[in-house]
Amino acid sequence: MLKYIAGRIIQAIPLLFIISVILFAIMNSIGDPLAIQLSQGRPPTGEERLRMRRRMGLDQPIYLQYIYWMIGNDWTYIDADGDGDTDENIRGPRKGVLRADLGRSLITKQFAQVRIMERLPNTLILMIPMYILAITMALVLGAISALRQYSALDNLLTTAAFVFYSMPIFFISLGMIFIFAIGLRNWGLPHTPIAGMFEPGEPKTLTNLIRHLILPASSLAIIYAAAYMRYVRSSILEAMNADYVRTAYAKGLAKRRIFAIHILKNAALPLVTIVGLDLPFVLGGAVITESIFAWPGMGLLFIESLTRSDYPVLMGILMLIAVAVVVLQLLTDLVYSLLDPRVALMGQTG
Amino acid sequence: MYKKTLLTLGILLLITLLSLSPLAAQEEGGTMTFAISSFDTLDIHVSGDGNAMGIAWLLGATLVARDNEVNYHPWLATSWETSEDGMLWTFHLRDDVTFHDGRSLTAEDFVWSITRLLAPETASPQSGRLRSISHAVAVDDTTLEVHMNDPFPLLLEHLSNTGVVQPYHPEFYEEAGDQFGREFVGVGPYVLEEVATGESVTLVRNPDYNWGPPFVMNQGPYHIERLEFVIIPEPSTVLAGLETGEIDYAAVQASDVAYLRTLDHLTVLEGSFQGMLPALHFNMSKAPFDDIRVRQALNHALDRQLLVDVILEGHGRPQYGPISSTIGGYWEGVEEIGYHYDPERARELLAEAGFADGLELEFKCLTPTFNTLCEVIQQLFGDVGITANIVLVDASVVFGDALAGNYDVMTLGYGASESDILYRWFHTSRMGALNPSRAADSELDRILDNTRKDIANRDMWVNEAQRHLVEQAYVAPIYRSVNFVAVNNRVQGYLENPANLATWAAFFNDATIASE
Repeated sequence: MLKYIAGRIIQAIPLLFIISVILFAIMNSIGDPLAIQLSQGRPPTGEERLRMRRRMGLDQPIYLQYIYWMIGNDWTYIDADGDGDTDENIRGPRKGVLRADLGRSLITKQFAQVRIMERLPNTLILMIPMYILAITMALVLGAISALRQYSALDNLLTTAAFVFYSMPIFFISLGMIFIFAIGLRNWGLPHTPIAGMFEPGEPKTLTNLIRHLILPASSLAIIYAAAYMRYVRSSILEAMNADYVRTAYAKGLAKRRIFAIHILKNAALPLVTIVGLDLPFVLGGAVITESIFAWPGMGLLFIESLTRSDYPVLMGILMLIAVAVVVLQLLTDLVYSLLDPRVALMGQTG
Repeated sequence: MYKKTLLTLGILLLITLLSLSPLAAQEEGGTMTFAISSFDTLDIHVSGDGNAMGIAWLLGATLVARDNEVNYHPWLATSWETSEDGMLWTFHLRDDVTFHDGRSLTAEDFVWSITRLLAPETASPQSGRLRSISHAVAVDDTTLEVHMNDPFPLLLEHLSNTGVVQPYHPEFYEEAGDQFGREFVGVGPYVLEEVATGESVTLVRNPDYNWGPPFVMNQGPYHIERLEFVIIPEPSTVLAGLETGEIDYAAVQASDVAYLRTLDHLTVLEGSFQGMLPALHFNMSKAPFDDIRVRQALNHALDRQLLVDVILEGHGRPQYGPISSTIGGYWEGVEEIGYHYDPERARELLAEAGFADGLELEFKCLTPTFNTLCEVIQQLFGDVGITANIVLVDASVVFGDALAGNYDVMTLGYGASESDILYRWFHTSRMGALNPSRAADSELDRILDNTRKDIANRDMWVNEAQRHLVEQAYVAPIYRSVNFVAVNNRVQGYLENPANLATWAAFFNDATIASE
């Protein structure tokens, strides 16, 4: 088991390296961070642009920029005044990703890892309750739907799942705001706030947070639940018709026990796969939902950084997601072996 | 019976008084909530964000203040004079101004701030507009000298307008270190309470503020106790917040104005765009755009009124000169000599230039700002036999392409508050810094040089520059847009600021806010 995990981790290193090279190349072609400042009506002159580029290290060839990003440039001297010679007493300011320095944000000059760590908890506060809600809804509704196959209830649930799954998230989100923030308010009923994470100026209490969490979390949960429910329903149906379930009935086991152990556990496998694939992107936040509900999470950070070509931060977010994909794939495989004893984790890495 | 009537009258009077009292009682206090779409850092020397500049402006003050009629008034400086040759400006500062931490403001603080703003290490995107300043010297605590590299008649505009030249607190800056920008100490009417990253910025009233500019009634502390700036990137959410009253102030889109005007609790303010108009720019270093007939033809092909009606839903005005009619130095003559819609003439000019069978060009379009605008223009071009292939480019790319000359025709607009933008945009020396037209035109350079040198006749030279630019069809101006801000009616008494100086559409010195 340990050998298997170690093998997978070693395998991940070249993979992450390749991902980082590709991402770095893409990030460097999305635009000029200085041009953004230009477009906002504050033009640096040509000479000032060059000076700013040197300070940001943008004057270096891209492979050097990548090396500096990866291992830092504090071991070398930089050419601060642009006279072609490196200045003897000025060392590079960066430590590199391998030493936990993702570089400074081009906008706020904070370290990218600081910016990310400010936002990551907010995204988790939104996504974890949302995910628990979505999976609970999917399991309960999927099971009901499967147990009452072809009943009116089943038809209603599957149709609803289909409708919500096809609906764009902004439509659901804005609809929720319209009903629960504006509608309820106009009728003089208790209502939710439209957006944000806390009421500004009020103490940051748990109730305050939950009030703001309701709309974004349920908007997202509806879509995730609709998607997962359809998997749950079909895999439960498949398990219900399996031979071992018929055998279990024949043995005279209690219905509840058969459902919990023989059906649900087997039906959970496809769900684990899907969730394992989806979870890494949870860290990246929900771009549209976070924008609509002004939730200060990773999705918003990504958009803010993208529109300003703040690539140290963008690289940080994307690499975080890449690492999460690798780690969660490993976890998914481990959960598999717990759920299904036939899946043996060998020492092999293939 | 009589007694009863008296009682009823008394009660009625009381009710009337009570119902009036919220306005009367709400002289001081209250919280006003602004929705902003983005925010980066209060260190406005390095910020590139208009909202951050606007918030910093409420935390600070500048040497002079500009009013709506473009007059400059004393603010932190009680008076100023400029030397004969325009190379030295002397400002006499007030001696009663204090920072939020209680320390008195001195001329040294201004010297420190201007030095940092201009220092190459700061790499300030703002330094471009102040590059005429050589350095600043504090003669004594209240006398500040600003030495120039070249005479720059519009210095006061840049010392007032955006609030970027406000005094920083040097010791506080050192103390705050990396946190500076999320912590801030200034000399303004509001004190920073909190920057909640990605969420909001909260300011509270500075009760010691007593140095407001003279063109507002209240020079003392502002009336509104707290200002909350909530970051909401999505316009539909902002709309919902305005509707429920959770948001008191927000910039809104033209398409929502008609609906917002139907709501009784909101007032929609109009501001007008200032600067280099949204226009088609031609790469004049490239054939066939080096041919004036082609540029004139493209100008004649634009039905500007149609574009105003379709794209701006009627909120705006067709324009014929390079700069907007809302900035000082605009020359009305461009409306007469400009190129009006005339598809026949456009076709003739194209035929004369040798494109009787049509012309194909690449049309770079800033997305998403100008998407629909470009599509309509593509149609108008089609009407005169020009095939424009639209290439959508976003803000991070558009200026890079423009400066590198990597385009045929492109849409560009650019904010500016005074006519010196003509020099900064079109002078040959500005190629690579701005000057997307890439024209090396010695006659134009001579005129533009004179706008900076021959100060006595500056107005004449600025008019001349506009005449030349229109005659040579350097650009095809399109329209001047109008921007909108919705304000809840519980905010009263503000002074409208249509030029949106320092971001906001109003001065809030005299404003009060009623409780809900």
